[in-house]
Amino acid sequence: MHKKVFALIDCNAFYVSCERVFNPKLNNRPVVALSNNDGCIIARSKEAKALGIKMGVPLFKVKDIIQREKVIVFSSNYTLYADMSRRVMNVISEFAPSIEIYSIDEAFIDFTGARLNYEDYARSLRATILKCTGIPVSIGIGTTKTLAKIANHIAKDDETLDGVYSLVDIKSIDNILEQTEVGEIWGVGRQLSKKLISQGIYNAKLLKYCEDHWIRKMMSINGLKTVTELRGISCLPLQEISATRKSCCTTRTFGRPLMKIEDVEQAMTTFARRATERIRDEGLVASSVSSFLRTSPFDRGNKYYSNSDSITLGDPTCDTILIINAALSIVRRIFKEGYKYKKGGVLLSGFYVEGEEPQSLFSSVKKKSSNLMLAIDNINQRYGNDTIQIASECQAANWRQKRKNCTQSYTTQINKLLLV
Amino acid sequence: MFITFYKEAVECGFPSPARDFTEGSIDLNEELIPHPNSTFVVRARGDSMIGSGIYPNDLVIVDRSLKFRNGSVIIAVVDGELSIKILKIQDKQISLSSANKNYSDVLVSEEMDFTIWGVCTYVVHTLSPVNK
Repeated sequence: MHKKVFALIDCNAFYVSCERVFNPKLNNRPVVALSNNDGCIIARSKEAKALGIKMGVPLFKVKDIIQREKVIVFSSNYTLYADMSRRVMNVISEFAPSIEIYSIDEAFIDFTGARLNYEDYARSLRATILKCTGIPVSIGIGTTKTLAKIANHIAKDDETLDGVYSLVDIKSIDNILEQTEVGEIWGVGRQLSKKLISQGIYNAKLLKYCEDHWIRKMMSINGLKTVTELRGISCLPLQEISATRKSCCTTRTFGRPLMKIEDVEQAMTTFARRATERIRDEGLVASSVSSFLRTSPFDRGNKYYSNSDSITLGDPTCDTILIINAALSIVRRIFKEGYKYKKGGVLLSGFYVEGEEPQSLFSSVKKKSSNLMLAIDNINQRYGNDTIQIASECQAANWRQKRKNCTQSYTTQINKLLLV
Repeated sequence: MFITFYKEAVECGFPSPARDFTEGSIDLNEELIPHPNSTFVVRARGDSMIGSGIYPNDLVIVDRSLKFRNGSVIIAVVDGELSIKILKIQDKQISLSSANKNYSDVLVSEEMDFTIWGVCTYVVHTLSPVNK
């Protein structure tokens, strides 16, 4: 049997790189991109990192550095990023028979059995992605996904490597693991890394040689998988688009035609909540939310209108509140005054099994929120559906997303194209 | 973009016998954009490329994956500024020229930050606007 070989392709500062493709003046300058609502910094160029701007920091905390160093700040333009991501993933697919799209800017591919020089092949993949899309990537190669991820960190950090690094056939792998902090290991979150450090396990080499029963006690069964992978034994297979359902849709004809946005929002909130409850029931998290609205095609007295749009979520979620927010922000975009809306719906897609989704910066926050969701589900189950609702179902919440410095949808809208 | 394509000319007056010869449709995406992953559409600004048939407001299809050569119409990036130019390569000297005599050539020097963003493949120019 062949030894397994995986490669992880990770886009460098993806959101910033997307902005740079359409505005090359941003090259070599410090650039950051903000989360939804312009709250926190979620992407930094190399130059911005060098100024000490940390990942996930709230914007107001770094206002001084940003002003002093003339850092360029973007609101996140998910429409653009999703389209660029699709292009990158398509190019990768042409290089490998199977691909696991792990997040908007990361993909695993399987090189097992391929008779080729992995590093050379990865270099040509990297060059092709850069030429076709303008997006620079780093590629890490290893005999397990966990090791490929570590190799990727090295490829990204060491500028002499040209963006590609392989841990396959490396004799001194322990030296490299020794330089990898536990918190950097894929699957070791913040809480766990604190716990391990408090036990004196602060790098990947120390973790690799811990005893199984101790690991199981400290880190549960998934932790044991991670450690087994550090030892070079693959136990996390490539997850291609899974057999689990691909989408979940709640759609209804309204009881009476709706004309006011408040009424439409109220209905769509309910649809979003129901769809989310269903995926939560199945242990899934969604990374894409779509909403659609239409008038009656049979009503000859009034003009027909139908529209839909979708949003890619930064973090896949099954949190009702986040999904409702996304669904409603689309509704506000596609809703037009003066029509009698007869039907609407919310569609969730891009599923991951909960717990296997890309790691979030704010995973501890998410945990709390999912406990809240569980409690709501339980109450609704016991006392009948709709016992607990989200406020906008009763009265439309009056908020709008803040996206002050958002660039145009250069690649998806004909009237927003790049001017040259 | 799909346009039904009949192999035979359609005759007037009769129910068309050409119906039997329908061959599917012309897909302009397929014809004009063979490499969708590396193709972008931009909108032309200014009159510097009129001689190549690129007028202000035209849509220009740009393929990043194509190899450029002497005479290619390209999107050039000079010091971070994007522009549509004709690439001239002579004795290893690169220059960028416009298709309009009111603009002079730009010699690309060592100090310039110069890259090629993509190769322009097609122009979409409006002759009679159609209401959608």
